Order: sequence, then structure tokens, then C-alpha cells
Amino acid sequence: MSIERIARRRLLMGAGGFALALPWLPSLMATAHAQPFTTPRRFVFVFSSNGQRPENWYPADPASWTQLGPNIREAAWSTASGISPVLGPEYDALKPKLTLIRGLDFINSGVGGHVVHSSLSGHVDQDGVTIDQILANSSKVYPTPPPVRSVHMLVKQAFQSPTSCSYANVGGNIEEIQHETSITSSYNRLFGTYQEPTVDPTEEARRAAKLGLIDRVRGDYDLVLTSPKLSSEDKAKLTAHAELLHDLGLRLGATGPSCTKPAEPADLDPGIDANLPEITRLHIDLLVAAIKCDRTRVATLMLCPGTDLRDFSYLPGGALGEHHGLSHNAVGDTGAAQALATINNWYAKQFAYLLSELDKDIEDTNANRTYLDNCMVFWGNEDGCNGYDAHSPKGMPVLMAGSGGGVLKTGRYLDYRTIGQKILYDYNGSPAELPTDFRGRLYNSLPISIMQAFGLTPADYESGGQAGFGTYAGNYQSQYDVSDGQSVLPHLFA
Amino acid sequence: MAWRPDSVRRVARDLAVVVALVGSAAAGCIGNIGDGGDGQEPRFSPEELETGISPLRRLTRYEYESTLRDLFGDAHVDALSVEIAGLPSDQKAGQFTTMASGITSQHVDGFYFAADALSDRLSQDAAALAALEPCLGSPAIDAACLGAFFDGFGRRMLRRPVAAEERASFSASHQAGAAVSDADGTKLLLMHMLLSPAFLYRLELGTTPLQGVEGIEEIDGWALATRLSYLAWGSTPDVELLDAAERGDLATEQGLDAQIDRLLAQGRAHGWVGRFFGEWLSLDSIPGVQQSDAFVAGLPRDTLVDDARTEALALIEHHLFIEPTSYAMLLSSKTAFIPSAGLAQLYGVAMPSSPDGRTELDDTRAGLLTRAALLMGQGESTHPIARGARVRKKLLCEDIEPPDPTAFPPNTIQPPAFDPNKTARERWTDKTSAPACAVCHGFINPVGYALERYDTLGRYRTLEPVIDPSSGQMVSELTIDDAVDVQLDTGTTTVQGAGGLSAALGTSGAAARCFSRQWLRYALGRFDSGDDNGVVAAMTDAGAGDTGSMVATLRQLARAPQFRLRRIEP
Repeated sequence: MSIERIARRRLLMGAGGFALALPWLPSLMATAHAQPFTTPRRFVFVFSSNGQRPENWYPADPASWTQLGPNIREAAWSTASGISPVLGPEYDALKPKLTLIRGLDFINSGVGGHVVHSSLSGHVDQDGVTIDQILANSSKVYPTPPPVRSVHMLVKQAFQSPTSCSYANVGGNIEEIQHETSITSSYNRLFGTYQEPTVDPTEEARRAAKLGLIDRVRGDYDLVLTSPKLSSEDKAKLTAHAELLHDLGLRLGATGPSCTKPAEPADLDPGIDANLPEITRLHIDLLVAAIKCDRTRVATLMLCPGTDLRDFSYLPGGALGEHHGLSHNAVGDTGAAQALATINNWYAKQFAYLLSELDKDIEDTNANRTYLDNCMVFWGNEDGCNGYDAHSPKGMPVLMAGSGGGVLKTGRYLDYRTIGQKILYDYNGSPAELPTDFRGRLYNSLPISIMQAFGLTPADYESGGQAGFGTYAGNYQSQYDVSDGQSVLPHLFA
Repeated sequence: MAWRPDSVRRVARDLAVVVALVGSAAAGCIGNIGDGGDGQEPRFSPEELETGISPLRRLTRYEYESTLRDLFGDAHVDALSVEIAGLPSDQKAGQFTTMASGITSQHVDGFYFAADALSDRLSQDAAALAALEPCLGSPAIDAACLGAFFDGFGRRMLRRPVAAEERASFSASHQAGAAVSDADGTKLLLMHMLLSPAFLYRLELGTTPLQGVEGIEEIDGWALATRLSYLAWGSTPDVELLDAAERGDLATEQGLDAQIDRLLAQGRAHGWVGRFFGEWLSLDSIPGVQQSDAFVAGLPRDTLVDDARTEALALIEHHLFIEPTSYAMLLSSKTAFIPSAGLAQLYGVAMPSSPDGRTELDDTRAGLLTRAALLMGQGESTHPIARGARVRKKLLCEDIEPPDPTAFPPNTIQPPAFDPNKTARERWTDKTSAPACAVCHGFINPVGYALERYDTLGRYRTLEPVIDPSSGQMVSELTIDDAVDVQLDTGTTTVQGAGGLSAALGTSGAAARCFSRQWLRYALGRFDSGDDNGVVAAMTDAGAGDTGSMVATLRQLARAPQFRLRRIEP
């Protein structure tokens, strides 16, 4: 037993050459958000699909804008109830904690929309590592290994294919991080290793023995890696496996704070459409419990898969029609646009419920901050919000809530468009104006801003010698300032 | 659902493909295959040494579960449903789930928690432990007991003998656990082995270099046995196959054939092979019936998709295993096994009275392509372009990408507008007849138009109801023209409807080769390359002619010299 304890200690200290390749660089930033934080801060991404229509998503033009810089302006919220047809009165109490951002465009057309990870990867043309995974593996989010690095949940109808907004770089390969569709699986992931404060000595010995076992299994992988019969790709995969085992050992060794473990939620049948609202609520409740218990600080919650196909038969008034089809028909068809707004308002209510639950309790009495204040909660979409087609990745819908522990200046509607300047579409050498909204800035700045808000520096997320994050090449390249898109959004931070 | 390991476990049926076992052919042949060194004739011709790169394969979730079931029995694995659900499901990386061998923290965590739970259960079940190795069921486990366990069940688990270093490592885990309790000792022993790279990956490290050949090596008998069982069953070799490998039987043609035929003759091969068809033809991802009640017109919307899938798979199983035929026959067969009154209604036939629902359908249902499972789609209007592209991609292995929207003016890549006086075919033809479009659409569209007599639930029709999208009302009915000029490797052929299209595909060499290629991709867990042309040709030949059959195509892959090679990229 004593041998095992030594093994465990060695493991907790990070034995041998198996330390995860986590960037640990001193912050180069002199700004406030580079200061160490004493309270945990979290990133939560909430996803819904099929885009938004600008007339229903954004507020009416305010009476006055405050110009913050060239092509950057802000407005305070109107005192009227609600923000827009989609963002209804359920946001009234939350307005001071929101940041609604307009005018963030991808530099290229993508592959026809529905790039589920685009909001987090900065790519619409290829798979790329997403910021939730970069944050989840950063020592700036987790100074010590957490019980759970990240949780990924998806509410879907029984027949729809699961999709994911999260990708990790594992041994040089971009791998999809799957979203759990069973709430039981998410519950087990979040609370399965929860330890009650008082531990039976035999149980403690068992735990230590299992941590020692992980060490030995890693030894097996080491041995295999000495074989000359493996390609470099095979070796990268096995090395990644061994490193992930090491991390698992660290996480199993992390006890996490004690809290009231929630009861296991009911796993309702997603084959019954009428269950979808309750399944959604249960997922949100579980996520809130996990955040308050500090089981994890990074989460993605997909309220539906990419290309949502549900018809919302559970809403009062009955089925509205299939969500994806409506999103196409809504271009120029006011009836379909209205139905789409009703659908998106239902998703908005779910997002508001999450925010309200996080905002109920003070977490940091010194700074008088709620759990929501210490989060950055981002509701994003796979498709754009512009006057053009349903799916073009221009004018990506971005609603943020919480200040990430005081980093963001909240309570604002920020507009980064170049007013009056339409996007040009070059066809056969003759530029035509796209019937879009006005041109904005590069979307890439948003994921960069979020990562920097958590104290990450370019060295933590840049790769391949490319400054910034995501794609900077595409058919609209000549119309955007690439260097703008390689740093944070101006005027976003407090 | 049809494709769960439980269905792999169906009772074996009498099969026509059973070939007599050859018991003594390999007598005297011991050890691995060898490399033909020592002045012997080279055992591989230059053509046979052409093979694609073999990637390291992790057990997929399906293979992992099947393997656990074979090793530890259904009762213990049924109890693991929550842990197995915690593993990422097998995604079609590239094209097939067998290509998904990537690793994420979710896999590593999932394997750990599954191993933890399973070893916990086993270590508290003396009878289960005794079944693995008799001495394991008693409290005191000494080195001799562990040795016997490694020799016996250890070989089964790792699919080869347990090496000395592994024995030491596994024994150390046993010892660490036994310091807590006897049960903890067996638990940690089993848990460690369940997490071992030799268990979770198909490592194939015991390869033998071939003289004068760089980068291509011959795998040993153990790895060949493993390739065979995962090819035929999607699961781990049984004792009989491992014994055959140990005796060196697999190094002889008769010995190898005997094992291939034995594996394919078992009922469990049906489920695994059926999964191939399900993934290839997307039968595993048919969307649910979301059309309006008026459109569905009384068909049972909740069961229709499952019934259609069941019917298609029963047809495939019939032509593969029960009465083995060529691929061309599958493409023209009128045989059907109707599982429900709802599907009978969809096909417009009386529910057959035979227990298996077997019946012969009319000319409108000639071949797999005319069956509901391959025709079902979203919406109430057909999308002939999507259908045509699907056939060309899946059945002809053509690379068809969606058009690049940046190459056209805004809004070019949109479906044609509603027109009460035009059929879908006419509207799509107008939309795609510009030369820049016709380059591809000339190939794609006719294939889709040939299927126009089937609506989005797979019902046969001769008139197309034209529906106004703004009102949802039918405004006219137009006659469907499904005669097309389809371009295949055999030239441009005028065919009538789905039956004519299927018959043309049945004579296409490109379609036959594509069938072999798809099967190779599924079985080897990778895309084929030009280096695989030799084995593809041999597979296609095996399936052709009077004696050929689809199962012979698969069998030929396993028999091919290339199947015993591993190409290792530096």
C-alpha cells in the first residue's frame, strides 16, 4: 500500500516525460485581465442552429449611437421591455450583463453553411481546434487539474444525427469531441468521480492502487512506442493516448471542492418531441449544478444539433414547420420569418433560463459577483444573420453574457460594421454588391478575445506560424483587414 | 435498431456457403508464415506487393463491445451499458465507422471507466473468474495461477501470447490490488489488461521484413487471425482461430480458406456484413418521417423507417448469405421480405402470409435501388440531384463535390423556383443546363430522373403532384418521364426508370469495382488507393461470372496476399 502511495504522489507531481504538452507561458499582457484570478472563471458555449434573421434578432436602431472609433459604435439598451422579437422580456433583468455584438464576418463563404464548430474554431472551410478545448487544456483556466476538463451536452430528437461544435488537437490530428446526448452520461462524467469529504480508508487504498495502475499502463504504452514497426502517425496516436492517461490520473487524483451532489436526473425519451423542453431544462440544471460545484469550468451545450429539423410541435399553437426548411424560406417570406423568430425565441428563453440560474447566487462576496458574472456565456450559431441568404457566414449572431470575472464591459450593443459599405462579390471580374447587411470585421477576433479574456496569450493558441486564430484566406480577403482579425476586438474589455 | 451487437448474436442459420473444413492440411507446418528467405522463391509477386498504407487501428466502440461480449459474456457486458454509452459513438470518419480510429480524452476516460466497472463485476463473481481460468476463482492466486491465466485467457484477450514484460506489468497490478484484498487483486489484474495497448489497439508489431522490399512487411499468424475475425465478425478471434494461428494453419491456402469459410458461415457474420451495407448506403441514417399527415396518407409514420430498413437488409442478407448471388442480382431482385402491413401498404401489395413475409414484387420494385429505404428523404418534393449524386458517389465511387458557390453569381446555388406547369425534372434541367453546370449535372441528373417515379417516402407514382410551397396545396399533377440517357463506363445508355438504371449498373465494370472498393474500405478501415488496384481486381473477379457471388468478393479480400501485408510509412 505504501508503494502505491508513493506512486500516486509521483504521479500527482507529473512523473517522467509524460507531462501534457500544455502551454505555460507567463502572460505578456499588461492589461487587467492578465492579472491572476482568485475565483474560478468559466466559459460556456450555447449552440443553436440555422441562423437568425437581422430584423428579428437585433434591436431596432437606437436613438443614438456612441462612436467608439472608426467603424465601432455602441448603444445602451432601450428602456422598453425586451430587446428584439427573438430576445424577449425574459432578458429584461439580464440586460446589464449582456453584450450583443453585430458585424463579425468570416473571410470566406465556407461550404454552404452549417459548420457547427465555426463559432469556436474560426473556420468555415475546414475542421479546426476549438477554443473550448484550448481553454480546457490551459493551466490559466485550471491552475491545478480539475475533476473534469470540459463537458459537452447535446439535446436532440431521437432520429437526428449528433453533431459537435468542439474539436481537439490530439497528437496533431483534429478530432471531434463528441457531445453526450444522454443526460446520464453527462451526469456520470461530471459527478461520477465526486468524492464525499469523508473517505473510508479501504476506499482510499483502492483509489491509490488504481492511480498506480494508470502509471503502469502508461509504462505499457512506453514499451510499445519503442517498436520500430510503428509509423510516425501511429506513434503520435499512442503517445497521445499515454498523455491522456496521465491527465486522467491527475484528474482522478483531484478531489475538487465539496458540495451537494445533485440527484441523478431522469433520462427522458428524446423520441417524444414533447419531452424536448424538459430534457433541455434538465441539461441546464445539471450544467448549473456542475458550475456551482466547480466540477468543470468549460462547457458546450448544444440546444439542438446542427441543421435542426424539429418542428416545435410542443409549442402552444402546434407545429411551426421544420426549422431548417423555415430558415431557407424565411428569406423573403414574412410568414416563415415570423415562424423562425418564434423558434429562435424559444431557444432564447432557454438561454435566458441558464443565465438567470447562474445569476441567482453570489459567488464572490468581496467583489459582489454572481456565478454568471464569473462566466463568459456565449450563445452562438452555425449560420449567419444577414439580409442575404439563410446560411452565409456573414454577420454571425453573437450574444455574450457575464463579464468573465470583470473582464468584459457588459450591458451594451456593440456594432463593428462599416455603415454604408456592402460586401462585394467578385464574379467574372465584375464586382457586384451582395444583398447582405453592411460589411463588418473579421470574426476571428471574437475567439481570440475570449481566450485572452482568460489570460491566454498568442503563444497559447497560435499554430503553424500563423498569427491569430482560424482562417484568414478566402474569397472576401481583399475586403477585410486581416491584421484587425488577428487580435482582440477593440472596446470589448472593461 | 438493427445494428447492435445483440443482432450479431442471432442464431446461426444453415448456409449455402459452408465449405468443408480441412482438418489436417496444415500438419507439420509450425510457426509464422515466414518471408520466403533462405534462397526460396519470393512468395509475393511484384503486383501482390502493391498495397495501401495500413494505419494503426483502435477498436471501435462496436468492436470493443463485441470483443467484451465474446470474452466475458453478455450478462456482464449488458450491465456495462452506461459505461459503454460514455465512450464516443463510432462516427463515420471519412466514410465508414471502421475508419474512426482517432483517440480523444473521451475515449481514454471511457475505456478506463468501462474497465473499472467490468473488472469490479468480474472480481466479485467467482464463477465468472473460474470460467476465465479455474484457479482464478479461488482466493489465493499464486504465480503459477497467473502464468496459467496468461497462457490461456491472456492469449485470448491480447489475441497473441502474453509477452514476458507484459506478464510482469500485469502481475504487479495484481499484487498492488491484492494488498487491499484478494478481490482487488483480480480486479486490478483484469482492469490493467483491459487498458493495455495490446488489447485496445490492433498493434501488428510482429511483422517480418520481406527480402528486398522496403516498407512492406508480412504480418504474423496472430495478426492475420485478428484481421480475419474483425473482417468477418467485427470481433475478437475465437479459440479455434487462435489455435489455427498457433499451429501455422493460416500459412497454408487450405488452412486459411477453411478458417475464412468457417468465420463467414457463422450467423454473426451477417450482422457485421449488414453493418457494411447500412453504412455504405446510409441505411443507418434515414431521416424520420416528418412529412405532413396529408402526405403520409395513413402510413404508420413511427415505424415506417425501421420497417423499410429491415426490408432492405433482409433482401441484402438473402442475396449475400441465404441464397448467395452476384451483386447484379441484388440490383435487379424482385424478392422481398415484407416485415409489416405498413410497408406492404407502401408497396401496394397484400401482406404476405408466409412467416418471413417473403414475396415477389412487380417490375416497379426490381432491385435494391427501388426499395423504400433507399428512396426515403426529407420534404415532400423529390430532390433528383441529391438522389443522382448519391448513386454516383456510393455505387460508382465517383468524387462529386457540391459546386463552389464562389464560382457563380450570388444565389446561383439554390433549388429552382416553384412552377405549377413544370415537373421537378423540367425545373432542374432548366436550372442546370448552362455549360458550366452541365459538366457535372450531365452525369448526375439522369440517374436522379430515373428514380422520379418514387416519392420521398418511396411510394411508386406515375404522376408528380406539384405543391405550392407557400400554401402547401397541390396545384397540379404532371406526368413523370423517367426515360434517361445515363453515362456509365459502358457508354451512354438509354434506360427506362429505376429498373433500367439498375440493369445498366449491373453490367457496369465501374459499379462492380466500386462494390469491391467500398468493401475494402470498410474491412481495412481506410480509403483505397491506386496501390490497391490489384486486390480490388481480384475481389471483383471473384464476384463475377456464374460462380461469383458477393460473399466471394469478401472472401477474396481475406485470401489475397495483400491481406497479409502491412505497409509501414516512416
